[in-house]
Amino acid sequence: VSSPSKPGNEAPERWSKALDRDDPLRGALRAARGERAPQRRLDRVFASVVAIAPGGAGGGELAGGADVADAAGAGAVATSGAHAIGKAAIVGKAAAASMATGSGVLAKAVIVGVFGATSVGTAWWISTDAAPPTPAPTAVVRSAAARAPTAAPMTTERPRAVEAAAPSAAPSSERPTPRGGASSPAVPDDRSEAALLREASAAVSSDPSRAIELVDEAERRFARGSLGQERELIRVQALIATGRREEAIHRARKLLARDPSTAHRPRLEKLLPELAN
Amino acid sequence: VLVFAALAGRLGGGFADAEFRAVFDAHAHHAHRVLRRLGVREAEIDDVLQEVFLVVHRRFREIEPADVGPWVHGICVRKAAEHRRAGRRREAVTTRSEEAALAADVTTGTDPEAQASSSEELARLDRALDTLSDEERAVFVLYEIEELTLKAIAEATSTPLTTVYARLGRARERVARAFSRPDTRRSA
Repeated sequence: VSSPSKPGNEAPERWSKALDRDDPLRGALRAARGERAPQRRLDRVFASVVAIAPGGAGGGELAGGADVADAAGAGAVATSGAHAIGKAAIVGKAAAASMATGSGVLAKAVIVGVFGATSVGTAWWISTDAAPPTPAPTAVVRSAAARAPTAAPMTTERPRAVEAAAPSAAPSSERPTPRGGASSPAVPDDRSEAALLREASAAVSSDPSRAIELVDEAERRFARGSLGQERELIRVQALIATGRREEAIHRARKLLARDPSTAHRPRLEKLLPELAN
Repeated sequence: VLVFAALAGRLGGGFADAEFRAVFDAHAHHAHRVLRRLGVREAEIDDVLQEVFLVVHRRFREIEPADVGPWVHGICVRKAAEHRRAGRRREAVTTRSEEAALAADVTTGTDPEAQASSSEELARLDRALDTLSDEERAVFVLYEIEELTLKAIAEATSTPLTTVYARLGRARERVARAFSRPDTRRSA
């Protein structure tokens, strides 16, 4: 075991190569380097990031940023069976959002919406690892998965597209069974701030009242948490979804007053155009 | 569906989410691995990973593509340290067996030598890493496991190169000593 060279000299050879082949430390380092997290877990993280990231969806807010998260959620659902198709769903739906915004042509949005919804439906159907289409608000893993079938109803055009796509794609006889032991049995009272917000964000379109409960809980337990702005952004979206627009405006104004240069400003102004006045 | 997706990707033009997805796909595995080796508890890795990629999402366009890898590693180092400083150790949240169950679906690679190494040896490595300071640990993990260059580590951690050398030297000594010590102590 040699020490690294002095500064200015060559970097020392890495132990994964320099140590003897039968040195267990060499094997351990190589094992550590070879580790790979399951794609399912990473997809879940991805979905939560795009759901609450500032300006998410590249400004494609017509359909709502959460919508893209829906697509990503479908990706997460699809990982074990059809990861590539899950990705296709993400691209398809994200494209739907951005094209709808960019062109403003409704017909186009409908067509793309159908494609997007179809790919989501397909991804869900192909997956053997998906949850049934019932909301499961207590389990982080399942709540993301369970949203796939209800992914579309953010715009008025899409529910029809989903109805057309999903039933044929997922006949009840082939309805996948819930996730098994791979998911972590989260202890409800000890969820982290990020986990609460992930769940809240997942509930915005399917169960906004539940989303508000969750952000309340996050606020109560993590008053000084590092994700306060993301929490308020989710709250604003949920308030709009429940029709409490005035309250949403009030909350959004508070957030903007506290941090006028927040990266969430463009998104808030898109959600609530009246804020710009 | 795939053809449509490819087409839609093209039509999207300056297509921020596909771009972010590409960055995420390229680096999330590494980031996950770094966080594990930096000692973030298994049950909390996904949360920290989420925080890491919220930062990435906000700023990746400002970073030269070639530098994104080391930059992401640097964020992991900072977030892991923040995480520990904040004392967010909810010891009761997950039991040891739940922790093990979570870790169990992390797979090892195809390297034959890695395959030969038992999970016990990996646990031994983690215990050895636990004997390091945060700074030493970061350098050791980024150099010996992630295989960044020392220069990239210096940049990623905003540390002078000479300091990085010194930390690697100390970290190596400690790891070698702790790793070869018979396992009498429990992991922290």
